[in-house]
Amino acid sequence: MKEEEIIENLQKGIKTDEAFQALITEHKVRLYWHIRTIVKLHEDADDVLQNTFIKVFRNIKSFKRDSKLFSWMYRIATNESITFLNKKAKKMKLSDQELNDYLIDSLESDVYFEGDEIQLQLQKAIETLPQQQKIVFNMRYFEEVPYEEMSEILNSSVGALKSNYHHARKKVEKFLKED
Amino acid sequence: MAQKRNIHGKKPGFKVPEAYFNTLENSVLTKLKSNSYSEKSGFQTPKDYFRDFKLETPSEEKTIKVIPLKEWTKWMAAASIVACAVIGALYIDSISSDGNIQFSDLDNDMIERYLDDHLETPEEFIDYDNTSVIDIVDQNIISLKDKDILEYLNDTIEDQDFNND
Repeated sequence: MKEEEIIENLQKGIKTDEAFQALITEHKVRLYWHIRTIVKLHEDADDVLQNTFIKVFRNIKSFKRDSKLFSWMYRIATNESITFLNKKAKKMKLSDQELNDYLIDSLESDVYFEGDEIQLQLQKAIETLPQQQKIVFNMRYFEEVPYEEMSEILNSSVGALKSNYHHARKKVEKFLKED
Repeated sequence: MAQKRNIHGKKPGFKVPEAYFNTLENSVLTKLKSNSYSEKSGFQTPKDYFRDFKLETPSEEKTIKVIPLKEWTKWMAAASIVACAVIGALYIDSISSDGNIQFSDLDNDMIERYLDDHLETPEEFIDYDNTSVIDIVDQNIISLKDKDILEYLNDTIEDQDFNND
């Protein structure tokens, strides 16, 4: 099923099950990794991924095709991930920085993290970044999302995103050298 | 090329799934991408996580019926009016049913109790009665003529002997 057909079927309520499964199959991997780089832990990423698809399904009628479907879904996934982390911090009564420390500690004992020492240090460095820089760095470095696409997803100019990535990269390098 | 392939006049007999080559690039890229994410970041997923990832089609969210406030107040006003009317009718009915009691229905005890409760001192009772009774008697006597009085006395006191006084 092509993307156009998927969108039309979901918006008009035709063969919705089939269209929804096709949508999931097409986008689950990229969305998962995008979410995972933000929330870090697999269980959390799984929760957020499911919520993202449910939100996409429930709001597909408001998708006006003024951006690519994937960009729109990416935006939902980003917002869902940030909301999830904020809720988690509130639930655990932690500040943003305390939550970042907690996530890194959890990562060290996570069975689904098999990174070496450098990768763990890299994650620690990323967690020191402000949220916007963190998301831009993850999208550019790990997911290799082009700036133009990132601009559509994050609703920010290409220049601002390049600047964000530049600053983030400098901070990460500094952190790794000092540590 | 075609000549070479059909050199023995036989077909190879092998089959591939329909459109296999059309989707092969995507499948390989997806797999590659998935591996590159985990290689770069160190994050792993449970075995066959993506293969088993399924999500039931969510049910449509139930739309909540919104009742406009203006309409609600209208209904409330109507209900209040009806309630007032019913309560009023019951109250009037209870009063009018009390009013149907005749004076003859009352026994002496009830009357005495009423007088005790409502007239606190005997003086009050006397003063009140005296005034009204004397006034009435005076007015009636003034209006009577002497001739009528004598006639009345003759009729009612026939057997009495006035000469004895």
